[in-house]
Amino acid sequence: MMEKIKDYFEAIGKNYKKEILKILIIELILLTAGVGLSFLYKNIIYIIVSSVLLLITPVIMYFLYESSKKAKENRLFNDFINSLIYFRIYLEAGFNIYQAFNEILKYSSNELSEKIKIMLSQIDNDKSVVPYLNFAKNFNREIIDQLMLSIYEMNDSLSDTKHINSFIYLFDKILENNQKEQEERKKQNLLSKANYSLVGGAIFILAIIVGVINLMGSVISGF
Amino acid sequence: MSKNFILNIMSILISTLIICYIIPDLIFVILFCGISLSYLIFIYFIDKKYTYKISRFSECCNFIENTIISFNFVDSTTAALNNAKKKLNKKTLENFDENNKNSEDLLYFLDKHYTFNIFNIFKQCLKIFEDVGGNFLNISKNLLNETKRLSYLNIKTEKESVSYLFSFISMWLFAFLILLVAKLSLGNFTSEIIESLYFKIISFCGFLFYIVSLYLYMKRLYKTDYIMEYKL
Repeated sequence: MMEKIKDYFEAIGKNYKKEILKILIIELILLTAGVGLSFLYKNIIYIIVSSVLLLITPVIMYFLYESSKKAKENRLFNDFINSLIYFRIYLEAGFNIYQAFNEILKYSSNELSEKIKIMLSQIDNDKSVVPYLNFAKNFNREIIDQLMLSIYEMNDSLSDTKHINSFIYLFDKILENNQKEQEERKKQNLLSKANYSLVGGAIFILAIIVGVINLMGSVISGF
Repeated sequence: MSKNFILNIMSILISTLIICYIIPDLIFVILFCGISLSYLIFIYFIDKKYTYKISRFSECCNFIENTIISFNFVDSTTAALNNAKKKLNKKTLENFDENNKNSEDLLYFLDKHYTFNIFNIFKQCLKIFEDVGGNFLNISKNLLNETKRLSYLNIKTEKESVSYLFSFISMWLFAFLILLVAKLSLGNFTSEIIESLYFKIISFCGFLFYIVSLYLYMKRLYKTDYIMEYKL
């Protein structure tokens, strides 16, 4: 069990000990608050509430880790797509695939640069398709597998226009989908923020209700 | 001053006027005005930075496009760059010594101004052309396409941001309208309700929430993921 948890944290790139300590501290604070409040107000309900929160905390943390993992994957994917735009320009300008990958290192994030460097060092020793496919595994997307395969085929025969066209077709498809996805995400994000006005309206209605209740209270006590 | 900032000023002005009319308590009026003014000053600097970045990027894309297209009519890099230079903003070339006719001088000067990835790649393409020769239009076909795509994204983002912000602000103004309608329709009771400290505090929280949500909205609106700057 502990091994599995450790593996999970390593897979998402977090420090296992640090994260466990963080969860334990949150649980300890909740427990202390629950017990303290129960003693203070002599009511067992606080212990029950804190126990429920104690059980929920790891679940909430799991969802937070999952969303941060997904965000990290998306960031890496977007970064790779943006770097490939430059990669294509370099190819057109006459660079070979190895040189083009080397050139895009300076435009990539540190994380992506590291992965490209690993791929390039693997290519130095292994001229097969394996380094390309190993690199594609970082993205967990089938389309990237296909794209890397087409890059390998292109590398094998740069003069063959069939392979170049296959790469351009695949890349254009990915670029178009990615752009649409990002636009949709931005739209959704802005729309969700527009819902804040409903919360604002509710706050103002609450203010009026509280004001009316307060007025009624003072009228009743006045009589 | 961008359209986004003008919209911000208008919305803050209207909302502050409404809230000050509802709660004419001196301390609260000072608080509302203080928060609004601080927000506007803060957003002014963010907006200035955003507008500068957008216009600089748009100018950079135009410059690259013009240079590449100039290669249709001229053969040398210097002539193409000089052609494209004519369409640059005067402010950009403010500190450029006009006696420098060399293409390298101009590229060196613009490099400090356009710190974008796309400009750096453009420079590298020019270098390849200088070293190896060939047809620059062929070398830079993808670069031209990418520049056009980025220019389109730049214009689209700028246009969309205004319409998105307008709808966001109108929805919030409807929320403020609730308070205004309540004040006008409750008549004599209104002064009694407004006297309540709870009413004032909750309304203040509502106003604060408006400012925070507007800031978050602007922050998302001003995010330009597609403009990537060169890391040194």
